[in-house]
Parts: sequence; C-alpha cells; structure tokens
Amino acid sequence: MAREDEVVDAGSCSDDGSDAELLARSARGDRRAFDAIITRYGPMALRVAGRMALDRQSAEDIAQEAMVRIWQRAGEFDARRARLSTWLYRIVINLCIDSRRRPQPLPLPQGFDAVDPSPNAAEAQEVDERSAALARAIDELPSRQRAALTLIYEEELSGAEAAQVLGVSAKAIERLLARARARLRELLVADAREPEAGT
Amino acid sequence: MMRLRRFRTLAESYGADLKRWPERLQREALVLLDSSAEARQIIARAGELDEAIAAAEAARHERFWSGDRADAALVRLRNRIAARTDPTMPVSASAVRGTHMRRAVRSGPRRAGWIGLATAASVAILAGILLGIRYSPVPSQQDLLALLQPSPIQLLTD
Repeated sequence: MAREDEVVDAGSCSDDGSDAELLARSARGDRRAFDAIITRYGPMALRVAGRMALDRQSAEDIAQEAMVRIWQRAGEFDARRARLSTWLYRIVINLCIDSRRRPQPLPLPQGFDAVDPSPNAAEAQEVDERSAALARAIDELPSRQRAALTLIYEEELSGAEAAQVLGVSAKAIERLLARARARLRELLVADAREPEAGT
Repeated sequence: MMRLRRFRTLAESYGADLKRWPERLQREALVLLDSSAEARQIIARAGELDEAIAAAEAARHERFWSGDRADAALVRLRNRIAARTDPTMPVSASAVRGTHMRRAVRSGPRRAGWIGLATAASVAILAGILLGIRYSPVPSQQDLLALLQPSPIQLLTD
C-alpha cells in the first residue's frame, strides 16, 4: 500500500489539454485527466485555503473537499460561462466561510503553534510583533472581507473577477476591501500609539 | 477627470498598486497622481498599509507552506483524492485520517442504486425458487399411475 506522502501514480500527470477538455474527460471517469487538474489547480486550492483556514490541516481538508466536488460535478462545467479557476475559487472560499462559522476549539495561548512545532516555529516567533498582531487581525476579519482581501491582494484577481467569485457586485468588493483596510489601519495606528503611551 | 475624493476611495479599497484598480480607471488615476501632491500622499499612506499586510500574509504563508511542505501537501492531496474517487483503490487509514468533511464519494449514488436494485432482484428470485422447491407436494406413485390411465369421457345424455 502506498504511503500517504508517496505519489500513487506519478506517470498520470502528463495531460496538457484545456481545462474544459480535462473536465469533460473527468466527467467520463478519466482519472488521468483529473490528476492533471489536480496538478494544475491543487496548489491554488491549498494556497487559498491556507489564507483563510485556521490551520494547515483545515486548509488541506478544504482543498481536498473542493477538488472532490469538482470531480463529482465535472459534467456541469460550462467553459462559456466561467473559468475553472473562478469555479474553484468559489468552492474553496465558500468551504472556508462554512468552516469559520463552525464552533472552534478554545484558542491556544499566543505564540503557541499547535499545527507545526518545527524549527520554523522559532522563526515565526521572531516575526515582528506588529506584523504578528496584524496577522491576527487579518484572521479575525469577517469572512467575506478576508476573502476579498485574499482574492485581490494575494491572488491578484481583478475587482470584477473577485466579485464573480463571491457573487457580489464590483462595488460591494470595493466596500469589503475598504472596511477590511480601515480595520487593519486602526489596529496599526493603535499599535503605533501604544509604545508612546507606555513611555 | 477623476476627482480626488474618488481617488481616495479607490486607494482605500485597492491600495497603492494601481494595477489592482479597475482597469478603466487606471489611466485617470495616473493622470491625477502626476498632477496632485495630495494624491501622491494618499498613495504613500496606502502603500504603508499594503506593505504591512503583505508582510503579515507572507509570514502566514511561510508558516503554513515553507520548505517542501507545499509539495508534500500536494502529494497528500492527490493521494487522498485518489482514495476518495477511485473505486478500485483501497482506502488506506492514512488517507482518511483526521478530516471531518470526508464522505464516501466513490462513483456516486446512481451506480450504488443500480447495484442495490440488481442484488435485491437476484435475492428475491433465488428465494422464490427455493421456496417453490421446499413447499411443492411430491406426487405419490398411485397419483402418477392415475395420471397415465385414460379417463372416461362423459357423454351428454338426455
């Protein structure tokens, strides 16, 4: 039996058809075609889920669930209506939003990295306090603001594309971004004042 | 021409990098940026926040996916999806470990429905045959002889 970290079928990733072709073949049960889809879009699913999920394990679960949904509904894909990336973004973001709505376990003490106590955790602790505080504030943003920030700033989608993913207007994206930035700016300003107040 | 107020609103949403701004407004924004010191100040301020956000996001990304973690995660993703979508592949314990969202996907409910229906029909037919054999009366030898005898034909009489 293959170990989890071993590639099950390394030779099955050579397909280079268009997304629509690969999905059409996947809909007929072609696993090789779907492997090509995973190679192409798996990193994206992991990356986006990693932005919004609370920990890495949740991010991997969400990416997995999203890709399985693509496999299950491959026959429904219509390349004339949307791109596969847009569809996948939408699934991943919605799963992340659902995941964040669920009750979470009690927070761990600050600086405690339950997911990954590796040598890099020490590096993470060296990250500037201001940046760490901002990272926490980003995590605490309402889900849709967080999603807008991820899509526009990290994934470099246009406002129109992000609007399509979130199912809102471009104006609504603007408002989500503005609220998110205002919140983060407040935090930075308060953080900058704190040392002054302490002296 | 773009007004400063609109310019500020856009900067507060999309940040300092004009490439993120709606494409149709980028040119106008550039013109204003060239001509207005206040616009340049707005962009500089937005840029500070951009940098802080980028640093925080980079730290998070590093914590999650540094080194070969991203590659290992992709391999795990591929293997777990293979386990969930390929009915010929045995599902290893490690492939289903620790997730709350996994469900049996396999080939979908349609195929499972047909297989169930066919199995139920086969069982019903087999049971019918067995019951028929078990409860059919075995004819005695006399009955068999009686069957061989010509039966009298009754004629209609007045």
